[in-house]
Amino acid sequence: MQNGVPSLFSDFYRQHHGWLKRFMSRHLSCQHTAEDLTQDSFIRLISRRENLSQIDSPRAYLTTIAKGLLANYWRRQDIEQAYLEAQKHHTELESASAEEHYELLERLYQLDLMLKNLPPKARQAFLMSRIQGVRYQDIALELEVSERMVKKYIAQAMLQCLTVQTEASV
Amino acid sequence: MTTSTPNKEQVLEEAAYWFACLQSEDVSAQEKQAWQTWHNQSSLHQEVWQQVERVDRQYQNLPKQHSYHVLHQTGRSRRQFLLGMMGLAVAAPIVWQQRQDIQATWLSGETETTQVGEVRQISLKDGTQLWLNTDSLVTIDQQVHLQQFHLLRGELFVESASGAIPLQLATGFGQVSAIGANFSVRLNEDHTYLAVHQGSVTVTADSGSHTKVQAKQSVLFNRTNLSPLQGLSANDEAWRRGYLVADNMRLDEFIELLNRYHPNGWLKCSANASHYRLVGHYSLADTEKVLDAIAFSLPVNVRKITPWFTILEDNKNISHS
Repeated sequence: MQNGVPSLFSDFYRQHHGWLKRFMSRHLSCQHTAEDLTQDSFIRLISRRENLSQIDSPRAYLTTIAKGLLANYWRRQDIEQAYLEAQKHHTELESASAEEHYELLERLYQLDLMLKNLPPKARQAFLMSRIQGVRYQDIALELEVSERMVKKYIAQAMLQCLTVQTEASV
Repeated sequence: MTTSTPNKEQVLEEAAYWFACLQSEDVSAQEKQAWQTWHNQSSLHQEVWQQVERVDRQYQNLPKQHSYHVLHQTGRSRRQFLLGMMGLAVAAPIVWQQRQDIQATWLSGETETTQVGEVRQISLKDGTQLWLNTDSLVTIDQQVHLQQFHLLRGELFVESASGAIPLQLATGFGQVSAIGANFSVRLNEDHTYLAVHQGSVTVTADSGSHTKVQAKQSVLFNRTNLSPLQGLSANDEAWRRGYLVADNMRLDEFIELLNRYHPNGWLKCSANASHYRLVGHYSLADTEKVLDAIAFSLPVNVRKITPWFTILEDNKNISHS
């Protein structure tokens, strides 16, 4: 980094830390998490290596970063909660170790990331077919669509997964 | 080495369609053969296919019930969260309850269904005429003072007889009520489209918001929102007589409409040909003939990528390895 940037950053930090922390606190019940995500927002900002003095509206910019972090945090919370919920209904994982639980959670988080922008029916069709091995004709009945539509949903979901993976590897 | 060219996107799409085709329980030997040919065609095809297999492996060997539960559940809560972010109030449990009730009571009638490409006219007891468009499914419960429909898929057109009894139509997103009106309703992935041709029709979204739609008006609605549109399209009713109308329509829009009637799989317009425009009436009886006519009048190629996936491309600008 060039000279001057650190002091520019500390000014920037002092100026924006307060309101950003309050923004996070409004959306989160835990103060520690709010502080963590506030710090993460600044780290994200530095890692983008942008010239701080040239950001037109720092508030809007930081808010965008903060919202992205919040959304990821909530996604993880959603998954953990659904995971605990599933535990009550299914006995498949009764004998799993802590590491196995952790690995599965991590895998599910990655799969959820790949599927996150799919329309609900395409998502469900793909999950039914790939995870549960349900036949297209039965998926069609469940979703009240034609089999041709199921085929399209599967293609749509696979394309989305391929696109997400391709973007991630660039 | 992977280089990202515009061509790669197209190959990803082809691969995704092939994947969906091969996973079907009734994939034919010919289709498998055709896939093999596609696979052997270029190293890019092989590379992308390996990517497909890598993606698919990530969904295998998971604890089935548990993983499905988690990923299905998070998909649902995500939607409510997003709606919340957009400032829309969603009373999910109540809506769900209503939907269950609708399903329990309204699924009691007779079921009418059409195949892809089929259009059928049905006469009801009070003389009202009902047209069912391609690939549709509706239940009809004709009672003495009320007829209740539930549109589960596709599109219908109602032409009320004089002295017709009141009519209620449930769709996945809300309810339509009419007395003596002519109107059409199409169920899309994430909303319902209503066009009123004569009389007036009341729409009530699942959230409770409602509006009266007058003749020559149309509206889009989902569970929470109603948005009025400008006027009607000739295609809201031309299908009853078996044709599609293109009034200087973009080729991609036309192909999207035609796709609904195409019995041999999927039709798609490549981005490089989407800007061409069409004028005329096209018979829906034979979609292959329509494609021939388009290839004759516009500089496009009709290419069958798989037996059930056809793509229209600009023939001045073919980019395929």
